[in-house]
Amino acid sequence: MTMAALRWMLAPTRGGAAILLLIAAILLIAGYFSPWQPQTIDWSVHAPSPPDYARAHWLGTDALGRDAFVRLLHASAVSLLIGVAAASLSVALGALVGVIAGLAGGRTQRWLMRGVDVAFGLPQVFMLLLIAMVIGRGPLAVVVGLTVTGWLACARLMHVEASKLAERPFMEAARSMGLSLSARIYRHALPNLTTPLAVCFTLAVPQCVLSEGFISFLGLGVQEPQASLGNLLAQAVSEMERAPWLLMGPTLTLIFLVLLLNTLADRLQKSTSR
Amino acid sequence: MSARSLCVEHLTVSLDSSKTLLSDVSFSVDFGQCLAVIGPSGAGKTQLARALVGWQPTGAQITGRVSLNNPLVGAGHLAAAWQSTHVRIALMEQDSQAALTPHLTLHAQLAHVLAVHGHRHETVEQRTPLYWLQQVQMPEPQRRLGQYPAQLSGGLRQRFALALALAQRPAVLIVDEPTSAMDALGVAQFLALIAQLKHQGECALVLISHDLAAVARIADQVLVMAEGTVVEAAACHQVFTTPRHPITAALLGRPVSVTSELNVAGPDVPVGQPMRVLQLNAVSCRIAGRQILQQVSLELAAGESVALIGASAAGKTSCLRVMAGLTQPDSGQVITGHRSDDFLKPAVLLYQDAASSLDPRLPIRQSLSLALSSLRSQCPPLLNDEPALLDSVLIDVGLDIQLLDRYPHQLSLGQCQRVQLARALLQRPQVLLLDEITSALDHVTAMHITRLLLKLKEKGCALFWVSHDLALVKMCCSRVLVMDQGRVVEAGPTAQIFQSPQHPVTKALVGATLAAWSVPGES
Repeated sequence: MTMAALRWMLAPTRGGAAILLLIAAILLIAGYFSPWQPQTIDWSVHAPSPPDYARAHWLGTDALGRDAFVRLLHASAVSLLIGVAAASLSVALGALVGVIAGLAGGRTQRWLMRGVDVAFGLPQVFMLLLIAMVIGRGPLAVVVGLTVTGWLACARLMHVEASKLAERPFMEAARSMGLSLSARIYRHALPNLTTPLAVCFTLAVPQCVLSEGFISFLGLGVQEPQASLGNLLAQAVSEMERAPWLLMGPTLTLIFLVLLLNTLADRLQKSTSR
Repeated sequence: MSARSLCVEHLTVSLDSSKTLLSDVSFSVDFGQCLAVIGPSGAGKTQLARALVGWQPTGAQITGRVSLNNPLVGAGHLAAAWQSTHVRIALMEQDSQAALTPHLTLHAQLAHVLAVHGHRHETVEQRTPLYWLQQVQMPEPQRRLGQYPAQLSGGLRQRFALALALAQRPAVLIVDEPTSAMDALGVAQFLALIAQLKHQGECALVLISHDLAAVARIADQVLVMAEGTVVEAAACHQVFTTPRHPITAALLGRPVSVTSELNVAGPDVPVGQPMRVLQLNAVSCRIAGRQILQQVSLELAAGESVALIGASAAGKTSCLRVMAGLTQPDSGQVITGHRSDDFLKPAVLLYQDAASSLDPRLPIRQSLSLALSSLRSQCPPLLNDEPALLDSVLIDVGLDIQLLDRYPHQLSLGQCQRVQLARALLQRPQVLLLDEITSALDHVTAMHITRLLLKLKEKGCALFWVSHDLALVKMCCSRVLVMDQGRVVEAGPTAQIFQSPQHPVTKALVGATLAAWSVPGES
């Protein structure tokens, strides 16, 4: 029953994406209907408290007495923002490198793609630690870290696509007309590569949202008192025995967000490949 | 009407009330007979082929009836009807490159077809891929089986596409421009194969072609189409001897009569010291481990028109690519002439498949203005009046200004070829490298484009033709080079090459062409 309902919601033809988008929008604005603020402590409850509808703590409070529901909404917005920002930057960087390598060919291609190969060899966690050390922990470190480690896959995919495109007669004609590399990228390559670009971007966003959760869970990302799905989970795990309800919110929200983004990705790919 | 025949009644395909792709097309063709469909570019010939297979444009409305061996089927449900009655309609598409699966070897592609349709063949031998490559006279069939479509030349790809169609043992075989990239020998072999199929009488043949010599030799009936309607339908000899419709008469304009009309026999090179515009010095080139060009040397003077001929896979296209600077030679030199205000580019290559040489995502206007913008740094005053330049070049190539805002897929092949030529003219090249540019065009369009090119020649632009159409070569070129396995094996004035060919390859090519010209109705 549940699976059937889920499938119905996710079926692109039934506007599943639209429904999910609507739910996400409600989640993001619902915080305004709660009397609590993410950083406000309710001194009157015995923290952590289970859901208490009389005091409008719909998901209970955390160990410090802050409203879990409002913090969850706040955290969702932060995680989503970080995910979209990091995905945009890493796709832009990856596409730029991949398309230049694919269209330029020769030595430029060899050097750029060997660079990508080397960067692939560096462990992701090591890079994240390094970046957190250099620019300090926080949302900026997460975005930079995800960009630095996330653009490589996109660069490879775009390199392959651009190499194929470069062999097509109209690209050869543009090259022999003497159009500069930047003009060929802007006028010919990007319009013809919207589908692989959309694929890259839509794969990257949910991946970045998940990765943000992972990084903040490790304590390298978004720091208290600011909330993100990762650090909410970390707190919930430390209070797991006393307050198991705190685990539910961030876990389900993370699953829901990734599902939503993947459905949207599917829609976007279908519309660009038309 | 014989029981074993394909019969089409009142076939109409329309996108909406305003745009009709095919209108009231009726014909019938018996098994063992060949129906040829001819007509100018954009007449709806390919649309007819696709409609018969059951492929329809999105949102198209199809009416009319089709019958094969009696049962009548509504034309709108053909694909399902063919499927349910296990009738095989094989279509060999015009763009053989796009129709073949790029990541499978020839063996794998044929094996796929035989796995599905192998039970239709009687002998075990007919169920092996090698047999079908031998049927279409593919050179070195055993080696070719392990190759991919991209490794074949245009002519060989067409042979392979034909092998794929034949291996299905179709009840109806539709071939759309099957010989456009084949050399004269290939065409002769293709016609022999079609004659054999007719003799066997196992299928009805529909041939869509601009090659009227081939049509005259092989077809039993001819359907002349224009703008989606049938303007004339008659027996082959009747169409060729007494054409009734003006369009038919225009299509039948003979190469021979055009020769006198164009009168290109005069001196080719301007009097005085001819200016050398492009020279290859002992150029050799290896691609993927194979020697493609070996010690090729040639020279082009301003205002000269030279042809490079040879069998399929002789290295002609590779030679053009080296001349255009798209492929770097391993050894030897490519020397280009000096730039002047009249000639900004050393050489521009025109592709056979004009549609793929235009960016599918750009309207024609932008494709053309990009060509201008690439020259902006070289000659600023030239570009002051871009719209006027575009207009004048469009008039030169005979294109409607309204087409400027369309996309390449909305144009016919002939129109795409004109756009490609317009783009080349905007760049003011010293040499135009022409890769089979008229092979996919009907006679009228091809002649128009040829006239345009010859006008350019008079202005001092050199033309370098790669073509299988020796009638065209004889008409337009003063010198001919013959290429075989990457070497120039014979070179000389056109008349000499045609009258006393020396090399065996030249003899075979010229012999096959002369045989094609001497058919009834072509004299």
